[in-house]
Amino acid sequence: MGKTKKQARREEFEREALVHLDLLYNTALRMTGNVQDAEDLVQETFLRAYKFFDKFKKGTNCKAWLFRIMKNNFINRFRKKSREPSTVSFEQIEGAQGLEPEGPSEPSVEFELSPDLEELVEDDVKYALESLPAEFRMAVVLSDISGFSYKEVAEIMGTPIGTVRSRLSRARGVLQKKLYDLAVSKGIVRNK
Amino acid sequence: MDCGQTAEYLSLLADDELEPEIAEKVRAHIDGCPRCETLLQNHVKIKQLLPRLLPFQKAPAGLRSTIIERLDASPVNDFMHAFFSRLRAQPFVASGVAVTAFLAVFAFALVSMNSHRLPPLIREVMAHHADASQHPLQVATGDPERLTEEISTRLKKEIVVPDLRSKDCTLMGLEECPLGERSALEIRYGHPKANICLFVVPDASENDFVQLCKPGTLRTKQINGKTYYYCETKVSRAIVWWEDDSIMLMTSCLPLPDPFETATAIREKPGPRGI
Repeated sequence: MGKTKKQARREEFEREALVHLDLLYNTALRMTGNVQDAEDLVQETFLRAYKFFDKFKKGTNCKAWLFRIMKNNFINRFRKKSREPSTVSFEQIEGAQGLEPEGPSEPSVEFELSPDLEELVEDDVKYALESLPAEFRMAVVLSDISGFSYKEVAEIMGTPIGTVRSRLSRARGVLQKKLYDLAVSKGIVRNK
Repeated sequence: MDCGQTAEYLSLLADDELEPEIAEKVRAHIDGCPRCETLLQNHVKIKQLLPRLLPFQKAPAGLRSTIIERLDASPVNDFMHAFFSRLRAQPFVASGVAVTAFLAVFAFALVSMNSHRLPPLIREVMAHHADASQHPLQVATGDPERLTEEISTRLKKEIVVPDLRSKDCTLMGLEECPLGERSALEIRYGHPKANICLFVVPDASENDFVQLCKPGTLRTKQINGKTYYYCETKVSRAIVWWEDDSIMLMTSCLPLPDPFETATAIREKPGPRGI
């Protein structure tokens, strides 16, 4: 007996979309910072993608399409965390990298990240990453952890490529400072 | 190229995303500047450190099967699927349906054009951006109702955006950004003729209002019994109004590619001392 249309559709979805499960999960994990939220985010993403699978243009970039859906879900459901008190404010981000509007246009982050920084652990980096506002964290995760190009990140995030550049630059500046401070507080490196 | 200019390119250089001519100039500066060389190395180290300390995590074993179970349980529009499958199998019928659909859409467009009325605020913005219609519209998705809910949830109070709650406008995006000295919600709308941006600055003061306006450009106008202020920022004209204690600032997003630049521009030229 032949397959029903529903079965055929689901099998096609598994072939085209579900193959990206691990990559989506890893990205979701780094964006949300915990396993439960990551699982929820990934499940919602695939359910939504399945609902609109007929609208997906076959032969186009399914991975980017899934990440766009996940980004929208993340912004809608998980961004409240970016407003928690521990989060770095936009002003702090602007302050890094010498981007103060009225100050000298010189980098204010002046320290050297020592090779000893390797002694930091996963939790330290997670803490630093989670302190970034959602859009900045997402830019770093998509670029530096999931390996997307600037163009792909811009496509997924629905922003101009210039915005991706500035977000990445500022986010990395903040991460550098956070990790350096962590390393100093743990005695891994000495403050200059 | 000095240290300040170089700093803006370091992240791009670390990613090998700089155009060759600029990369050459940046490298020339870095070769003679140990401080910038250190800063570049910091970017490179961060880039290498993240994937190393946050190793790739595969999805938990049960997640795939959970998703598949939920896919099976999710409603699939079998009727539409069957309809289109049948059409694909009968090209003549499909052609007939396509022509009929085209004629129906054409007739609807004609009727819509005759009855087309832009929301008043958008008409005002369009009047200030004569070239807005030259720019292609991005893909518009979303739902204005969801927008209103989202804003109200985020601000923990009801915000009324009456003129934008229209079928002519489509929500395209919502994100937080700095505006002047304050953080604002930036709401991007797609409209058939232009992209419109609405910034909501919650719990704003008169000083915030003053910060957002360029000196000597403030004018007022009554629309539907409500007072709207026209002002110019350094990069664009905008319409500003109060919604309880929130400032609403609306403009075409075309001249505002990067909210950070906008914020910088406004700070460079503080506003008038009074409204």
